[in-house]
Amino acid sequence: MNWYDSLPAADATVPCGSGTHTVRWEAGQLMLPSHPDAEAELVLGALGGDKPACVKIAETWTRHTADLAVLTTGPRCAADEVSVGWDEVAQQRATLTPLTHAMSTARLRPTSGPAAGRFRPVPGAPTVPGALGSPATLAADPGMAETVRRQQQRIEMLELLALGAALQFRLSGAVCAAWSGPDKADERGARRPEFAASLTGRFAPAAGEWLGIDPDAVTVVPHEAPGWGAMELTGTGAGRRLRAALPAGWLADVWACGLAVVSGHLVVAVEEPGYPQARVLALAAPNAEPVLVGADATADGPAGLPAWKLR
Amino acid sequence: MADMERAETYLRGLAESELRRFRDSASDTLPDATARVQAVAAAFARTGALDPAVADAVVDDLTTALEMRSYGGRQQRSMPAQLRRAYRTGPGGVSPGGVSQVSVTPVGELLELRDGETDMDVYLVAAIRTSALACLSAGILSLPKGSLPRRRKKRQGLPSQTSRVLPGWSLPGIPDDLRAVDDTGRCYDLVFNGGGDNTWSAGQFNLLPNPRARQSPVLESAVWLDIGNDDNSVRVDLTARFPAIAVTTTGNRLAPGEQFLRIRAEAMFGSGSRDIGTGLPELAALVPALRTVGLLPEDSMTARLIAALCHRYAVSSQDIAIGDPLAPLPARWAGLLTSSYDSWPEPGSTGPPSPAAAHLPVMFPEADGVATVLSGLVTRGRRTTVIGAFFGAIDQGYPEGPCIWLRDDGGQWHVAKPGSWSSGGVNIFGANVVPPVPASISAVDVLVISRTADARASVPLTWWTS
Repeated sequence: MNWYDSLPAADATVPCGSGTHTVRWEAGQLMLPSHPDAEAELVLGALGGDKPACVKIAETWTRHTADLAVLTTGPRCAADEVSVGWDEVAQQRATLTPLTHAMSTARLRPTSGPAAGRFRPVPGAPTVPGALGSPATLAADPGMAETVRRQQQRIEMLELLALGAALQFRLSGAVCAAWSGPDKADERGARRPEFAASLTGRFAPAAGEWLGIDPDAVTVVPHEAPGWGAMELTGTGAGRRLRAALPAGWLADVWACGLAVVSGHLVVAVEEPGYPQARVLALAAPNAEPVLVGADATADGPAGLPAWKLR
Repeated sequence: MADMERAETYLRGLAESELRRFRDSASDTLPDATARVQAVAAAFARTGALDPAVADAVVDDLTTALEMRSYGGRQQRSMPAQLRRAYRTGPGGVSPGGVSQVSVTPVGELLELRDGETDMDVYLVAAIRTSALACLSAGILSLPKGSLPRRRKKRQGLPSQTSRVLPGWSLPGIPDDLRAVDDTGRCYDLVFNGGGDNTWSAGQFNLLPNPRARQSPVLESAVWLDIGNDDNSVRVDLTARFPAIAVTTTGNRLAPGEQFLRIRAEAMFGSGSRDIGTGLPELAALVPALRTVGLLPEDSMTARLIAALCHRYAVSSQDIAIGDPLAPLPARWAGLLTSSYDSWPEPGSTGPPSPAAAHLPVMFPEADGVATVLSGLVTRGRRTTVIGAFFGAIDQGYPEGPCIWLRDDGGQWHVAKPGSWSSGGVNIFGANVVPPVPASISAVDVLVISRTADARASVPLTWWTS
């Protein structure tokens, strides 16, 4: 069972060549129905041929499936619409400095996180030309290299966000799942503040919907012990404070699948992922015990996520 | 020792809160939405609570997230790279190496220029010199032809010049043909940096060797300097010296968080164009942030003062323990906030105000890596400018000072609002003094506040005018 079993397939359109192609996310994978032999096109591209935009976007997707920057830029809730058009992407690409563009062509590696080292320059792809952008120059000036890396990352993030809300949530889920395994505990521990912010930023709007509490009064810390976590509501009226401890996996299993608040309950864990039927642990109130209950996807909800209902 | 994980968690949590606020508000601009996070990031980085690279990364992450939500409607789509950082170091950064290497020479000359399209009086106040830089603090009055009589005997103009170091450099109300020749025969172009309203400008003339000279000492061994244009000139004695002004420096022994909060509060008065700058919400955001990481005590006096300011300006301060009663503001803050300098020029005065200039030759020792040197005051009507230089690395916009206050012999406090920048490795500034200092004042106490120390000096003022 996988976190993405609770999500249906979703499509997005990408300008490719002289037309527009569909890319499809299904069962955790991004697929290119218009490019049945994408591997061959990748090789052709590496040898100097034109690489289709669909193939490029699939490469970009793969590079960022464990990139925590996806969580800092991506949506926090369905109402958090991050609307980016392909014309904006083209405009931003056109404003890239020659150096950054060269770095883009040469494919900078992620410098940290689980994805570091997974991405390799494509054999035969051009290297960074000119003295200013030469690897030696960048090695001698780590500040410049970091600036270039971040600028390039911003452009790539724009491309991924341009795929639309449905794929934004699915990519966020993939990132969270990549970090949520027990084998990643040490790496998560080194980046606790980022996970605390990612959890708080996504749980707080859900808590607002659940309890009517001010999202600024909600804090979440990463939960690393066994079990779903913990929750405590204190104070009254405007002085209410909600503190929660949730595992990073909550973001993939629950939030990214549109299951955070269902039928007035807060879902704290997914016991059996599935679409259109799943079994979840849900809380009726902050100080109640969670109950195991079935959830049914009843319709298409906002942001390309299912609308769920508890049985 | 602050807990860095705690600091980063707080900062990232604040960034999430600001992102929500931006999402729900149609009026926030990107700079508005990042201001508080930038302020807290700078506080954590400056006090050692957080690695500066992490602080920068959080600001950058938030900026990117906000940009992504700005496409397709909001007015500003991308932030310049320098706004993505917790703080920005401005030009300069040259260590003073002790202010003994800096000299301030009295000038006190009026150069009357009547040969151009307008009549101009150039008040040359003082020269600031190092081994690599020389500049003259000045005020310039520019009025229609025939408005200014010639009051002083005209000297011979300077020899004609074939070209200028910066050809075409011209500012309204500023003579663009001034130059200087020293007693060794070396020539310089005078290039102005400062501000004004085309009628009255204040700032400094930088002396640029003409022809250009690479790494050549400026005025190192010169005894005198002739300054002027083709038509007129004045001679400046470079051996003249001011009487030494005693400076007293007192370390403040405060905790790092309190020091940071205090200098940021003082610097707020030195920003903006009127009483205080617009940074009070950002300043208030520092209080809970510094408390969270254990760098600010619950009974912080500066926090109480900020709460009192928030109360005065109806800025939300729910995260600050206000205390009961409100803390009384320091005399300099209260004096500034209650002054009504809109009444200048003084009641009863008629006609356009006359300019006046006074030497203010004080060299303050280095504090927190920055030495402050003052050279003079020029004043006309509602505008008074103090001209000086900071030697050392300073953040752009002076968010952490040094802060310069003057208390005149009538007891009124004035704050200097530095507004101009210069090149040459030194931050030469012309700071607007609020409220203005009238030429009837005969002495000022100067207070220079840095993060870890306060320096004081008492200076008699002798004004001269045309």
